[in-house]
Amino acid sequence: MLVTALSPVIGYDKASKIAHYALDNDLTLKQAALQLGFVTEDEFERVVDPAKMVHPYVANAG
Amino acid sequence: MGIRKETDSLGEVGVPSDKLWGAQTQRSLEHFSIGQDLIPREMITAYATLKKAAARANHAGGRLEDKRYGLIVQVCDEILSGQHQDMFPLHVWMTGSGTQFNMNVNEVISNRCCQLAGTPLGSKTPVHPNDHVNMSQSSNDSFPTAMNIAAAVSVKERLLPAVKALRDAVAAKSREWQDVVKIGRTHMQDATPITLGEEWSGYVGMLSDNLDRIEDALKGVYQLALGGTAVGTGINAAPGFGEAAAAEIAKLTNLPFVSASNKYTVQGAHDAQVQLSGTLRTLAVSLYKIANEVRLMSCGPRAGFAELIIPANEPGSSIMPGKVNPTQAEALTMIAVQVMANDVAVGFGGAGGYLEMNVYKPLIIFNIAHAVTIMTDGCTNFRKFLVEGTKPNLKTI
Repeated sequence: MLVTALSPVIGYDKASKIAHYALDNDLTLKQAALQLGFVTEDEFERVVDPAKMVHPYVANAG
Repeated sequence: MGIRKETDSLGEVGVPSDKLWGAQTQRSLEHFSIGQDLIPREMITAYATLKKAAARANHAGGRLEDKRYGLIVQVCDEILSGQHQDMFPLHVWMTGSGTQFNMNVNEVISNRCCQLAGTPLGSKTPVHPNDHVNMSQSSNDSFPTAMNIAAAVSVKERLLPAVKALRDAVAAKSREWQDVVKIGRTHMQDATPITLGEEWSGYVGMLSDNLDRIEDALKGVYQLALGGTAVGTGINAAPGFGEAAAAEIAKLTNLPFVSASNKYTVQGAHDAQVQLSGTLRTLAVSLYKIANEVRLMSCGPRAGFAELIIPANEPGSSIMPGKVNPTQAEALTMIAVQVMANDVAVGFGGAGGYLEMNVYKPLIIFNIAHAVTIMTDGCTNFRKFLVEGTKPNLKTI
């Protein structure tokens, strides 16, 4: 559920679309996010970082 | 009655047009309409308190805009004043995290904000159920927080005053009967003399000790999970959010809630609720003994111990004219047995969590809220309709 980190940036609805799209089409979350056009690759790399997600952390829109 | 379309991440759902809930609540109603046990009503108030506190903390932290903040707080205040109570129809026997009830609250607040702002129901604009009402929260930290608020508030506002009033009524009888000498009994056989006042002072001490035990257990319940979000790490919550929200909850409830120092502890397990339930069980054990002894000592009126004369509250038999029974004692001992059973369920529920989250949350708060409610009412009725009107039978004692 790494897309959780994207919610503060793109909203819960778009983040859940990425998760469903990735599963339905056998894609990585990054591939799904980029195909849907919700974030740039740089933004995805910056926000979805497991090392940042293990403590209080709200990603900003950058 | 019409149907309107609501949406969630799985698609569209039809919701009765006069209801404020959304797609996830409707799905839960369809998948979990099991029995007649609803999520305890105390959880509605607890959650409205929590959402208001979270909105305040998020607004103060610059994360929630003025307009959305104002709307969320306005709707929470409506719920806290008793409005919209029929918009929370979900059953106890649902997801073990209580997620659907959290979403029920988020959806109702979002849709009521739509009404106030003049936007269509289900538009999630200007207030989104997940992005704004649920901001900085997960069901996994908000539901246990609401459980603790619901349990502590109902214990402090209802159970403890009822037990104190019963204790004081028993103490008044104990003083009144301090010179009534009777036979003491051990093993149910005659022993040395005792006064009726001394015997009943034992009950006073039992009830006082129970009050202390329950207050002690509340210290754990005052530790809140909010700020831990999904698994206790605090992902999507700003640093300091848990502490700020707990401080707001303390202000709103006038109870000493604080943010738990370890969120993994209070999300992976609910030991504080188990401990509280254990003290409710102990109170039930005490009430069982007291009620049982009153009915034993009132056994008669002619062919029993007949040491006590209890109030004749209602005719006791449909066939035996003039019969009067210790019905208040019967009700209270049944309540005590039920509370002991509730505690067994809470124990299994508390033991049954795995890894980062306990998934018996609705079961735990359902059983605790039920125990608090029936013991509150049971103690009050036992005091009013039995203890206060009981007299010693000075001819036989």
